[in-house]
Amino acid sequence: MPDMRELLEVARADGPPPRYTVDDIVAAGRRHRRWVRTLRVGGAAAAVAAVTAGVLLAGSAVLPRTGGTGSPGSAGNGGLARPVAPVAPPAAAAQPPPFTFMITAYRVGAFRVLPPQEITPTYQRASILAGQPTAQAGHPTSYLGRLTLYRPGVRPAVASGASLLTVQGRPAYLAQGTRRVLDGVTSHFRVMPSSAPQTVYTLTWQYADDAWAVIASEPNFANEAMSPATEVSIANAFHAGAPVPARIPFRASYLPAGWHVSAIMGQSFAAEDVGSVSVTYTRPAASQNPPAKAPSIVVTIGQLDTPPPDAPKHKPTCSTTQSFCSWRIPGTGFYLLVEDPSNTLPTTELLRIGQSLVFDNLTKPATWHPVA
Amino acid sequence: VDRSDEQFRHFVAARMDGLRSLAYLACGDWQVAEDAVANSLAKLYPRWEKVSSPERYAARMVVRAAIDEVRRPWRRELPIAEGLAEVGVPDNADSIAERMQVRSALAQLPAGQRAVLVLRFYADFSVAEVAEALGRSIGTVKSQTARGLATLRELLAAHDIALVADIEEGTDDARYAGTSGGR
Repeated sequence: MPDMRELLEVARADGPPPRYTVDDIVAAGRRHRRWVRTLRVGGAAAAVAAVTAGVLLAGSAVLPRTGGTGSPGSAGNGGLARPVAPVAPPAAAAQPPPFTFMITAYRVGAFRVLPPQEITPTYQRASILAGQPTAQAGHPTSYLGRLTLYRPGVRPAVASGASLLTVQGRPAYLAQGTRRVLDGVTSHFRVMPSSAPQTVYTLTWQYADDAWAVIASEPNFANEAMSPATEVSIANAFHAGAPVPARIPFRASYLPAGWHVSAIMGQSFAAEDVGSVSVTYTRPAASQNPPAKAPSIVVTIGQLDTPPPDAPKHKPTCSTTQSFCSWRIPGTGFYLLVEDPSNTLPTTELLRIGQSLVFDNLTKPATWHPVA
Repeated sequence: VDRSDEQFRHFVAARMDGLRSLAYLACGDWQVAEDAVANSLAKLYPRWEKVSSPERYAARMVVRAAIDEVRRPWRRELPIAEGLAEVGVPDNADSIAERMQVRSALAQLPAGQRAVLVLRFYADFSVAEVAEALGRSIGTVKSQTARGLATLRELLAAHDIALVADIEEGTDDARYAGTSGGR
């Protein structure tokens, strides 16, 4: 008769070999630290793009450059190369207001580009799925990758060996990489066998003057990566839509002086691909001294599991050692988490910020308001 | 390589396997668990010298990341690849069957209850530490522990697997007050 610990040991036995090595983790940690430092010294937009592209997965590092050609930048390490081909300098594209979505949902055959959920001053991002919005048994929805639209003037890096193509009459670069999916058990507890190394493609194309977009494939357990033809067809069907301001579901009555929104993730709790809303605040670089001590504030709203009847309804739980406060939002099925990932802000400040929030109707995104 | 870097490297080498297991038990998907651990440790790296208890800190980050991942609808709807044979080894079929039954039972628990049980009984967190890690009240953690154990017992009983009867988890919730002593 096993005890609980033994039972859990049974469940976790026979895991697959690790996919990441210690060196992978340390390298990713260094990239993350560079991102944090860049964020703190004023390169917030570029850095946010770099880290959310995936800490460990092969992706496009974002290196905004001044002047130069119309081709994407090189990422500046041994695995990434110079621009594939020179392109005549184009005129600067019109700059939409910050935190304005230009991606609109669209479909190409069996593939769907969802409404964008993530936005920073540098980029906005939408998921790419295959399958119907309401998955049927035997015809499930598959997450295949993402479309990232960078603001004019920001140039994503292109991996070495990329092929030069044309998308909508403008230059495009198709890069190839590999990724192996090892043994695993899905959330449905079906054991999936190892895959052979999978080829994944990243398409970077110029969607307007001095403005670039990227479609990156992310293979899943079913080995469903987008083919080059699929990525090109999705890119060819892309058209910047009417500007739509990003919305957030609360107003902060109190924020420390000088703080501003630097990233938003989530535009609805009912989205197919994102189930929570996070708003990140940072301070201007000039006020950050020394940079390594600069904090950020992340406000996250998520849906609660059904709480037991004895659960305190609205009493905040704060951690002084880990710089977060959390509590159930009165009258809703949602929780609030206010945290400082740098662990430098006192919880009294986090609590004050959280308690100053005035919420819109969380279940009705139409009532949410644009970033001030 | 500076000393801090070396300490972090040793920490990862020593703890990564345990954190993978913790994340897997919280989410039921090895790939998601791998990503949750890798991303959490990458985020820990720049904070390494500021964190007084990295094991607890990493465990909290990993479990939260794993739960967040499986709550994303596209993660839940990953294709199951109908027709693929489950991996099995002929000479220990019984243990594999038991493992799959236990995994199946864990998978049927709500994510919150599963996370509480995993942190309590696998990571050896106290009730207060679980409450802090998951941003819940102590009462909620107690209730979710009791409910999770009760549900797990029922599910496992269907496969003739019985948990020991002396797991002591008090609860303030009268509905579950009688469930912690086993059945």
